[in-house]
Amino acid sequence: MSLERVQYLCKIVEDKVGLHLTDDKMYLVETRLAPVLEKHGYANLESLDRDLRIGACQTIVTEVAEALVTHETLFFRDTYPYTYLEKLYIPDIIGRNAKSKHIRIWCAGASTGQEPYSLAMLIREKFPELHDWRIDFFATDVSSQVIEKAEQGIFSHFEIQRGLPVDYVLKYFESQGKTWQVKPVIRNMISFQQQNLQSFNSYHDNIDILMCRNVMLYFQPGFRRMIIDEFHNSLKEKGILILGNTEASMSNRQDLIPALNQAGIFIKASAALQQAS
Amino acid sequence: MKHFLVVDDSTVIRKVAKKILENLDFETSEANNGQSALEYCEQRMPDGIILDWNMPILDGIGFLKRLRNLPNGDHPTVIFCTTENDIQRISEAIQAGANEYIMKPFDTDIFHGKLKQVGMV
Repeated sequence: MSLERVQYLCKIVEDKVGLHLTDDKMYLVETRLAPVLEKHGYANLESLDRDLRIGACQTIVTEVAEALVTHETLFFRDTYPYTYLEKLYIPDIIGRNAKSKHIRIWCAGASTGQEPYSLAMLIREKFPELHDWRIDFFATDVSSQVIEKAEQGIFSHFEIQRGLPVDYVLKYFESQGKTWQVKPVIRNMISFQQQNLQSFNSYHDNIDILMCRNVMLYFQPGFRRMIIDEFHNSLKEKGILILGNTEASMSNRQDLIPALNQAGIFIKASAALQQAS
Repeated sequence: MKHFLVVDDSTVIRKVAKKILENLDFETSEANNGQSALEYCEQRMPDGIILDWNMPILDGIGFLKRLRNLPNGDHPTVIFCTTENDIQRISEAIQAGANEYIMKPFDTDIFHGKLKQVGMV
């Protein structure tokens, strides 16, 4: 397949969901699109490419975009954001929100659900005092297929072994032969929704904890800045934004203060703090 | 250098596990059943043990229960190895004193992840 054709397909992805596939990822195109070709009866990538250029139906365009997006994830990825939430940040929220007994959480780019489930299990396991609180917990992803898998909470034994401590497996998963399913007590904590981060009007608001890890690196710098601005708007005062550890340099907003020694974690500064500094 | 004992009746599994561990700078030893492993531990207690479930002479659970009763037997971090995602079996291993579990087949990434979880790397 010619480079020009591959670049055209990558451009579709960028227009559709904002994700920018760099040249080094273009080798993935043929492998990733094979299931789309099979599903819609295309003999090869050239015939798919031809249909896309003459205006293929929106379903196929969406499936092409979804197939090319990376969904790599694992439970308790990098560990330290969860340690920070457990030891410092959630105790702080509990103090601040004691009157309302209400916490709002948003995992954007949640992929197949390992990150939101990790956070939900952490809350359930470490903060029994929150059991009578209202917790609005949203997990979103651009891919409807992926978010559907996340909502089912069914994982292979390969996936279950990546990052998940055995205590959590025993307590929060049900064995189903060759797969494992997250128990309803955790699944029911989370509302899974398909969402395109290009649709700024669909962003959740008044968020205490906003996780969007290892997603920004796929966006072009201009779009990243726009998303960071919108995430800032989504957060409450003193809300926390958790990006990936390689995404620490992606916010230069003065009112998102980097947490000490915690790469990619930012706290939204209160207006009073801003005036004082 | 930390020392790991690989206990499995399969030579292939022992070979794969040893190679992964040696690439991570562990010293390794091996045993092909629970009884040999127990005798090894009486002589020299390792820092970590990767332990199979089904083995001749003395199986994994039997070994684990006796290990934890040896002097300094609570020292090794034990990663229990099984081919089945049987929650009862995993639970039994944890109650008998395993620190973590791993399912076969495993690769370097999964093994490394488990070692990180139990603080061995």
